Amino acid sequence: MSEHVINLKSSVKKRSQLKAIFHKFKKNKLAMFGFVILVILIIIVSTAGLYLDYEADVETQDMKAMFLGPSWDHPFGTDQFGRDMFARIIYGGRISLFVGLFTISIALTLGSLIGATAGYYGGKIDNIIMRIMDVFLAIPATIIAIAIVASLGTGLINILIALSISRTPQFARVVRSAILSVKEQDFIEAARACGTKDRRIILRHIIPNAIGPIIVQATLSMATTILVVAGLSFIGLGIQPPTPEWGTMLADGKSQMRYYPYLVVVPGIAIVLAVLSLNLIGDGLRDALDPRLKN
Amino acid sequence: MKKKRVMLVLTWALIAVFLLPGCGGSANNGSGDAAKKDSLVYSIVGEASSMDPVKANDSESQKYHYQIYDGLVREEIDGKLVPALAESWTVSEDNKEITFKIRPNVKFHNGDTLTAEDVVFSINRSIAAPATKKVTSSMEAAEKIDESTVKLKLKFPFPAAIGCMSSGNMMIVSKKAVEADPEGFARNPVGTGPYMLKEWRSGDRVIFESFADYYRGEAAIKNVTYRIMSDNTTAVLSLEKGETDLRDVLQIADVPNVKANQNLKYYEVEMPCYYLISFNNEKGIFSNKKVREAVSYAIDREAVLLGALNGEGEVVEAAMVPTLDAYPKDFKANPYDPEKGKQILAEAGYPNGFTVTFKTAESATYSKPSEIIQQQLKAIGITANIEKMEWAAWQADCIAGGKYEITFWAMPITTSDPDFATYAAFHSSMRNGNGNFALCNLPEMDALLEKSRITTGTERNEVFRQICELVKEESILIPVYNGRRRVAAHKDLLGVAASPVNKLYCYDYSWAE
Repeated sequence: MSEHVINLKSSVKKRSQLKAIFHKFKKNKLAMFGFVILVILIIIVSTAGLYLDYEADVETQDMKAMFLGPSWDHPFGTDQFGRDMFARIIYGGRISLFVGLFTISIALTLGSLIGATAGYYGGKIDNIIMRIMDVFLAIPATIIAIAIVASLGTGLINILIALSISRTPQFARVVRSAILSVKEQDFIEAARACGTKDRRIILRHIIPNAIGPIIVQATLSMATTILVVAGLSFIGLGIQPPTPEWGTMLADGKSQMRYYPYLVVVPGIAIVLAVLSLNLIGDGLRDALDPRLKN
Repeated sequence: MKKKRVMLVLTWALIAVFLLPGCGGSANNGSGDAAKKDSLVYSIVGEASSMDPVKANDSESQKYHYQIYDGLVREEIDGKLVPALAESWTVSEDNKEITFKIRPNVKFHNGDTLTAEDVVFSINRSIAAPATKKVTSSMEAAEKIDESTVKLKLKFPFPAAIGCMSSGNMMIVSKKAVEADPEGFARNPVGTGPYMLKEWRSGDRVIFESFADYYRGEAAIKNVTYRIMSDNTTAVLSLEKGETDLRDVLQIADVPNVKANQNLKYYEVEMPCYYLISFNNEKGIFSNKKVREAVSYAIDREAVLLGALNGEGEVVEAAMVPTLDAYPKDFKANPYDPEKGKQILAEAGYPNGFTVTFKTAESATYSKPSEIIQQQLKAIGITANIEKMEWAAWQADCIAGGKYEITFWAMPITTSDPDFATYAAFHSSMRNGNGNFALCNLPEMDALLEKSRITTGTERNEVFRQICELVKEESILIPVYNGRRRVAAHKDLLGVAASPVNKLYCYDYSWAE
């Protein structure tokens, strides 16, 4: 009974909070700019199947049409194998955004579980789990990803595994600290007094109240993940040809950079746009979620 | 808000700091010119895997060895074999023995005089070393006849053996220095060559200094620095800026720029090599001859050449290095006919095709053609998943280990004789990482190869033709095209030429007055 009441109250409070956050976010012009770019990117990329034919536009080579500059037929020109850069950029975006979203959701889930367990139980469990996470955190995420890909082999699935694993410790840390700040509050005490199970307390009471920093971390992390995927592909450890990927396209264009600059400029701008928009959104969310900046 | 603006200014300032040195490059140039007269900065792709001539057999390492050591015989840039540490040699009637007269008064870098013992020691050490088998497989042993005569015994009559003596693997080393420190020798090499190793900064540069007592006279250029630059774009930029004087590998994209640059001179020569698609003939799906044959109809050589080298090369149809006389000019490979390929694939039991892993080295030289071939394989129903591998790992898997299904590689020769393009590549005894990377194991091929080693003249070329026929019939591998070696150097650097076998001697270079 009492638990029900608490839930009701918190959901009422949450709705108004969400509204306030969104209101604040809307006022941040830069963040809205990022948000609009991201939405446009997602729309273009997800509807690619409607106006592009993957086989014909993205994979089919035509040696007679190599290095054609931007034109009406090929808005971004053609690459070293005569493939349309525009189609490849769009499909490359699918990979980047998909990898970003997928790895962040995996890392977020895993990291939340690990961080929540450590933060909630504290003591020895906390110590053991967090020291293991510290070991991972001591090595840069990119290096861990490279090591994992190098030992598992290249390919989309291995990249997803590598990136998810390398991102998990950061989420564990953020979730743990968020939980520590919530854990001692009265409503948790109340829930515990009612005999609520640990799992339910963590999932229903603690995480929803600690979600702010986690969302910010997720958005910013997604931006870095897109960069890391591009970086891995750039050094040949990422997505394998003929699948287009922004980093691979950069690497392929690199040798011709002086003569056909659009080969690197176009994928470069794509990466910048995606990463920038996510970063702007992340910053905006952080400001909106920070209670100290309330005005 | 104010803070943000400060950050913005700082950021731009930082960017400016990074950009400025790039613009100032030309200013550094002028002052360097005066000191240039006796020094050379050579821009090289890779580092030597070892400075010990018997421990490395790749052409990149040998570019270092040719400066430090001499062989008994030297192959000049035009392919001529001239006496080096041997004043002269005689080949016995039965082609099974070569007697060398050792040049007197030749000094090692440590001041010792070259003796017959050093020569015998070096040759036998080379024969015993595992990395040199490609060159030494015909050799039995060397023995000292007298203080200035050494006899090399062969296992069987082999006319091309004298060419082998010019290989980087047959360089003469100081017996005393090797015996004093066999492991450390690779770091402190002692040879008789025109240059001595002065400093070796791994991954950055190797510095040589001329050897005053060199038997042909001290080199015109006293200081040679090998700058290691694996990135072609960086290398060409630094060449154009005058930071380096010579680059021995150029990608096609940069050629027009280099040719147009008034400070540079461009050299090219056809490579003694051919690029090929190799199968694992022993294991996996390509051990089926029909499947290999199907692939041979799927390859459009012109398109691969156009895409990979912008058409700057020649199509190769026979499994022979096209620069050699032994190349059968009128030989025709299976024509490009994807329909027929599909049909043969269906006969082999794969009407719907199959999926394989296509391992390739990450360098564009190999990965670019691989991507085109991937697309052509798709037309007959074969889905090839490209796996770009780091160079050493790819070598270990595909070239030495036989752990692959299909790959793209080149058959280079470092000495101008057809034997180097055939025996090691196809003989069943060379399957353990000694050159037979296609893992070809055919008794009739072995017989032909052995015959090629004991016949001479036009009859020998006929044997090589039969070998090409057999390679085509069995589709052991598929020759695709051949490229060119390209060298660019400062216009005032004299004596430069592109070497087909990558034997570039800094001793030949000098600065114009």
